[in-house]
Order: sequence, then structure tokens, then C-alpha cells
Amino acid sequence: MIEVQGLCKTFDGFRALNEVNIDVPKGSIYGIVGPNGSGKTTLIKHMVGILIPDRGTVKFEEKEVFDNPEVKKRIAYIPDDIYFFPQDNLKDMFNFYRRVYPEFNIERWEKIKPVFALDEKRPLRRFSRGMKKHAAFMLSLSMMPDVLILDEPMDGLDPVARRKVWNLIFQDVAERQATVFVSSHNLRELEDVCDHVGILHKGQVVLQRGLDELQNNIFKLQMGFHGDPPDFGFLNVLAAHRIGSVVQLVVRGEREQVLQQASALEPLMLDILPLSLEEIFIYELGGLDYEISTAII
Amino acid sequence: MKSAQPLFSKALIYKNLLRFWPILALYIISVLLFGYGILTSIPENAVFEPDFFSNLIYRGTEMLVLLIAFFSIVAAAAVFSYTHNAKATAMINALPFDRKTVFMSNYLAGFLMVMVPLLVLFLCLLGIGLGYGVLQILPLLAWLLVFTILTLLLYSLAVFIGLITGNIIAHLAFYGIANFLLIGLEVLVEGYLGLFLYGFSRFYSDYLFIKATPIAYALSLSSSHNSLQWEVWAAYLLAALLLTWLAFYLYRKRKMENAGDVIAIHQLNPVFKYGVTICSSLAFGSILIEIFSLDYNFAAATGFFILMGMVGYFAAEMLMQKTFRVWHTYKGLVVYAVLLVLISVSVYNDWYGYACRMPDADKVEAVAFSHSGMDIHARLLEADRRRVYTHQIINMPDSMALAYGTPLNLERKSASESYQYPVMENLSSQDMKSLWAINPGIYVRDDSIDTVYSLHGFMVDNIEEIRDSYRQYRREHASVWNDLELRSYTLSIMYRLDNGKIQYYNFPVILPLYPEDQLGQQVMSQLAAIAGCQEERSKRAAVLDVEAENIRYLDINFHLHRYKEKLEIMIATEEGAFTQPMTIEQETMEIKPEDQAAFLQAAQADYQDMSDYQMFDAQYQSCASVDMQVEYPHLPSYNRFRARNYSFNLSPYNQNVFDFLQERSYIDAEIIELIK
Repeated sequence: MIEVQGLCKTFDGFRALNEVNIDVPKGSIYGIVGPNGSGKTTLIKHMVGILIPDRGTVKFEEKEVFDNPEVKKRIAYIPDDIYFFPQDNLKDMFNFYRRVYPEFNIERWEKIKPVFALDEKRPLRRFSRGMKKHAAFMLSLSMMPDVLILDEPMDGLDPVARRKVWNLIFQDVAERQATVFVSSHNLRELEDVCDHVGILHKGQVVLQRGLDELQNNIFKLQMGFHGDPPDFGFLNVLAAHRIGSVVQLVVRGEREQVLQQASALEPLMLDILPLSLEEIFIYELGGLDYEISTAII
Repeated sequence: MKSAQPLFSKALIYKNLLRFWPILALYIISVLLFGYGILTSIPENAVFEPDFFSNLIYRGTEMLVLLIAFFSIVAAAAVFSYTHNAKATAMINALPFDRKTVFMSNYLAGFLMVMVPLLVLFLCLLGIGLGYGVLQILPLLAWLLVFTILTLLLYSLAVFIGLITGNIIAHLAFYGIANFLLIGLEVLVEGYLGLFLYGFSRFYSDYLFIKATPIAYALSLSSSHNSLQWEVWAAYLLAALLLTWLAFYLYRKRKMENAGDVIAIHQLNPVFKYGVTICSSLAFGSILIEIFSLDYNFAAATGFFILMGMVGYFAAEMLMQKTFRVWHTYKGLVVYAVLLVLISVSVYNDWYGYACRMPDADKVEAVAFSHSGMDIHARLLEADRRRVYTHQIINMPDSMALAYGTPLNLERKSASESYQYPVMENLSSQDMKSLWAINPGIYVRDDSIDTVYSLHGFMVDNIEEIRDSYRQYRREHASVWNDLELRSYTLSIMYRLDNGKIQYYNFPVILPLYPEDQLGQQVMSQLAAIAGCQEERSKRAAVLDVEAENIRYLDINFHLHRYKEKLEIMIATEEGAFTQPMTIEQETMEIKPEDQAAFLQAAQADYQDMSDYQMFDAQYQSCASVDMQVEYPHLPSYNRFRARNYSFNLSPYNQNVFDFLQERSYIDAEIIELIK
């Protein structure tokens, strides 16, 4: 559906994106995570045709996105920092988007309006950050987009509003096979909604998988031993922690194979625990000079 | 494959007009007020001559040009304001349009904002023309075309500038700078060359730069609309189209992430940086040099240029990098400083032989010469393509007096209202040459031309010595003007060649009053030869060849203060005090009508009797001025050349004049003695 290939972008000598390759399947919700400054917003701005890539392509169903209105009219984009024309109210923006997007659905707009209950006559510049996000979602979802590209979409929204928004998005995905590409720092939330995840670090995609596949590929092993623990060199250990006779290992590998290898050590106890997305994020980036410990002073 | 996209989006244009309607409204109100002003300027009892309407529509052109310039940048800044804001840029460029559609939609919305008011004004003028029954459709259509081109050009320039920068304040500032860039650069470069290049002349360099500055050129439309130069307007139209295309190209290639940057097209950063450096160097450097009076101290002047260049260089870096920590970028400044020093040394020592140029003597058709800088008279050499200033051409031929002295419109609202006369410019070759033949200081005879050419050759042969001597005098004497032992000359030579080209040379020279060195003496001798050449003498005499009965008045003003001053200084010297106040005396006397003819004959005789040196020195020894007015009764009363004023100076060398004045008891021996 959306294919990013070899995307490179440099800002005044700083390489923001370096050979980024991403594949977003149709009807999926793809979460892109990464530390601040990793290039998420730059990637998204390429995906909606705002920025010109130095190298590489962003394609939507085999068609270039940049400078291609036929593709862009099927994409709804909600940036982190939303802009509306300063003197406009919601009604004005509705009128503008209605004229610009051919698929804009007035019936849907009328249905969404009560969900957020915003004052249509109030200038948008007087809206709070969260209210602006509501307005952006109202407009975007009324465009009947095939692709929703969302940059930190839930920042500034209260939990109830988040739930409302996600429900509307799920409805689009379920009913119209809409594709969602979302960047967020809220990994717990992404874990609940995404079926695909990519991790961006220093302008490069370091990991990209389906969430299930990801969670089946990295585990926390908890084992107990008499005396000193044995050598775990044969396992792909990302992190190790020992409390008395209990050893906790974060291990990458096939679940069954790892379990088999660990059992061979004859531990007093053996437990295999799934990792949260947040833990995966931390451990994956831990090997890329992004440990939490470096932040302790 | 992308499908063909529309050139513009009605939704975007409509949105722009909806957002920025106050600009359109304000502009329309302005032009309506402007049209009302034109309407009220028509007198109730106006007599409508054939050119009345074409003159009417160009009334207040200066205001209209300024309105166009102002609203062009306001409209362009408004419709492209989103390019200066990262959030707005993202929003607009995420819309389902390609960049061509976005650019054209915004461009057209802005253009509508500046064109609609112009069309409103056009309709107003059409209404006025029809209402008064004086409509001339062709001049009105020409008016519309001219101002449409100007609008298109200034608006396109504003858009182009807006796409170079990503900052609204820089957009406004760069637009102002771009409009006057060429004139500004001309002033700066001329100031620099005038300081360092001996013999640099700027007398005739303003012609192209005015045309290359559309606002300045258009400001003169109220006086020049009768002879519109369509080739200039065609060039403006081409420039407007080129700027539009360039703006479109920049927009398509623009990196939207640069919104907010002073220079959004980073490839242009060096142009901006070194442009600011050079302008700062020349502008502020010149000011400091002037403040500290270091005009002739080469090292100090160069130092100030480098210092101010450094200020501009780092200021530009700070603006581009948005930080004060730019000192590490000093390498470019070092290169600039080295180049500036090299150029300055080469210019100061004239490695290019600028002051040694001379035209081919065989190709000189006429020459204008002055040793006090070129005056307005020299422009007569190109009267076939320039305006002529006639204030002192007393013996103008009747044919020209009739052609250029008859009012365009003989009707006046009241007796106090002045007539409008034809502009005296672009004369025929015959008229131009007849003016050369009567004007002192312009030489067409071969012997006269040879004399001037000979001086020029002498200057060129001895250029280094003359240049060094001049600079040394300027360094050593703070003010040459107050030095009684020195005299400063500006030897200006302007040639008109057979092919009509003008070549102008300028040599500032400082010499002692009575030079003892051979070089000085030779210069003086050649100056005297020019001042005393037969052509000069006969022209000066011919000016005074007027019928006595036509003289309205003939007055002499004695400059006695000149001599009084000298006397007082001498007295003060003897008493050891120099602060005694000087009194200024002036004595005016009228020459009686019965003496006027004899007086002028005496003056004419003096021009023949004076030696060459006296003819030259007379211009520095003025002791009286003669003011006269002559009436030419055969010309109609409304002819502006019917009464002509003329003044000339008397010097102690006017022996015949002073003998006559003493003989007829106008002055006594005491004054003669004082003068001598």
C-alpha cells in the first residue's frame, strides 16, 4: 500500500533520514516509534508530499506521492502542530476542505460533529491544543481518506477523547480498509492499536515487524540456579539482571528454541514472560547507545 | 502516471480572496480617492484641448506608482505568507494539489488583488472621459497597458523575492532593496571609485540605471507620457514574465523545510552573504571615511572598508545561521578582505589605465571643456537624446524659440496660471548643432578641438605625476578651498564622436596660483590656450550682440566684499589678531539705457583684447556680475523665450569696461584702484 524505499534527507549537513525502507500493508495500523529527533516527523512529511526527498521514493499503490494530487486527495494528514488559517472558524475550514477534497462526505461530517461538540463559529485560534486536534480529526475523517497519516495524534487529548478518536479510526479501518500510519511516543497506546511497528533511530529503521511477530521474537527469561549461573553465551541475550539466585534475561529468538536451550541448563525454575512494546523499544535501542542508564545523573 | 492537473484551483483562489479581502478593499478605496482627486482637479471652466484627456489621466502618476509598488508587495506577501511559516507550509503542501497548481492559484489570487483596483481606476477614467466628452480611447488604453505592465512587473518581483526568502520581514526588506538595487549599487560603486580611482567620472552614468529601476522610471511618466518609450515597457513586460517563471521554478524546487530562513534557497546563501558584505563595506565604510575625513588616506580608507565589510559579513552569517556564534566562518571574510585590498590597490594605482584613455582625435565631432567641473551646458552635446536646459541660452535661434517657447495650450484659467510648454529634448541634429555654435565652452572648430585634445594628451602623458601631486596636496591641505596660495581645478572634457557616442573624462588638479614647476606651468599654459581660443572669444562676444533697444535692464553688482575681506585680513595680521569680523558689501548700479549699447561693446572688446591667460584667470577674479534681461519683441507675448535673462562676470581684466564705467562716472578711481 505505502512503500518507502531508500529515503534520504539531509538538513544543512544533518542527515535526518538515511536509507529508510518501510512497507505499510493496506488496512493495517502501522506505528512508528523512535526517540526524539529520530526522523519520524521528517518521514511523515515525505509520506504526505510536503518535503522533497534528497534520494529515494515514497509510493502509494505504486504511485509517487510527491506532487501527485490523485494520490494526495486519498491521504488525510494530521500533524503534531496543527495549522488552521488564523481568522477561520471550524465552519470556514469545513467549507475550504469540502471544496478541496472531492470525497469529502458532508453526511459523515454531520455525524461526527456531535461526537466532539465543538463550537463551529468560534475562531479556531481560540481553541486549545486538544480542541484543535478534535477539529482536525473531524475534518480528516470526513474526507473519507484511504490513508490516515498521524503525527503524535493523541498528544493533548484526554483519555475519553482518545478513545473516541481511536474508535472512529478503527471503524474506518474495519469498514473501509483504511490504512493508518501513526507516530507516537505512547508505546502502551500503540501496543493496543497497532498491528505493525517500526522503530526509527538516527534516521534509520532499525526494526520493522508485525506486533505479534515482534512480541514472539523477544522475551524475558526468568531462571533460578544453585550458586553461580552458567554461561548464557549460546543465547542472543540483549540484557541480563541477577537478583540473588534468580537471573532475568532479555533474549531474542524463536520462542520454542529459546525455551529448549534454556531448559537444557536445568534451572531450578524457568519462566518465559512476554515483553511490552515499551520494553522492546528500550531493549532494542539499548544496543544502539540509547540506554536509560545514561540519563541517570 | 500522474494525470494532467488544472493550472489553478478555484478553491485556493477563493480562499485567498476571502482571507485577504481587506487588502483589495483598501486598494480599491485608494484608487477611488485617486480618481476623485483627478476629477476635482478639472477646473469648472476648463477648455478641453486635444491633449487634455491624455494629460489628465497621467495626473498624480507619482502617487499611483507608489500605490502599485506598495500594494504589490502587500498582496504578494499575503498570498505567499504561508511559505514563511513551517506549519502553514506543511498544511498547504499536504493539500491534494501539485506545486504548479498551488503556485498559480496563489499567484493569480494576488494578481487579482492588484489588477482589479487598476481596472476600477480605468473605468473611473473612462467615465470621466465620457462625462466631459473628452475621451481619447487610445491614450487611455496605452495608460492601462503601461500600468498593467508596471503592476505585473512589481507584483512578480515581490513574488519572486518572497520565494527566495522564508521570512516575512526579509521579504519586505528585500523587495525594497531589489527595487532600488541597481541605483543603490551604482551609488556605492561610484562612491568607491570616486575615492580611489583618479579621474573617475560619473557625470553620465545614470541613464541605464534609471530605466533599470522601473519605479524610478515610472515616476517620470507624468512628464514623459507624450513620448512613451514602448521598447522600455516591452522590456519590463519580458522581465515580469521572466520573474514569474523564475518564481514558479523556485516554488517547484523549494525545500519547504526552509520556511522561516532569511534565505530559503540555500544555494543563494553566498550571494546574500557577500552581497551584504560588499554593501555594508562600501556604504558604511564610506560614511566612516567621510566622518573621519580620511578620503586621501588609502590605508585607513581601505581599513574602514574591510572593517565595515566584516560587520556585514558576520551579520549575514548570523541571520542565515540564526545564531551569534559565527566567528568560525571567518575564512570567507579573509578571502573578501584580500580581494578588496587587491582591487583597491589596483584601482588606486590605476593598473587598468582608466585615466589614460583617449578617443581617436579624428573621430571627435565636438568637445565640451570646463576647468570647474562639467556643468549642465555639456549636456548640449547629446541634446538629440536628452533634455536641454535653456536658462542661459540668450542668443537662441528664432526657429527654436518658436518651436519650444510656444505653450502647448494657450488657454489659462487665470492670468496667474502658468502655461505648459513643450519639453526641450531629443532635438534634431540641426537644432543641436545650432546650440553648439552659440554656447561658450563647447567647441566644434578643429583648432579649438585640437587645443583641448592637446591638454588631454598632456594630462595622459604625465598622469602619474599629476595624480600623485593631486593626492599629496589633498593629504597635506585639509581644505584647499581656504588656501589662498592654491587653486583647485576639475578639468572636465566631454567628447562627442562622429558616431554620436559621448566620452567623458575628468581630472581633478590642484596647482599653486603661480606654479613654479614645469608641469604646473605647462598645465596653466594649456588651460589659458583653451580659454583664449578664438572660438571661445567669439562666442562670448556673440552672446552680448543684442539690440540696445531690446534691453529691459542691465545691472552691475560689485563684489566689493571680496576686496574688503582681503583688506581686513591684512589689518588683522598687522595687529596680530585674526578674529576680526568681516563685513560684506555689495553695490548695485544700473546702466542707463543710453549707455547700454556702449557698455556691451566694451565688454565685447575686452573678450578680444584680453590675453589667453587673462581669459582663463578672469573666471577666478570675478569682481562684479552683470545681470541683463533682453526682450525679443518679434516673438508673441506668451512665448517663454520672449524675455531672456543672462548674466556674466567682470574681472579686473575687463579694461575696456572699467574705462567706460569710469569715463561715464559710474565708478570712481578709488573703486578701480581697489579692484586692481
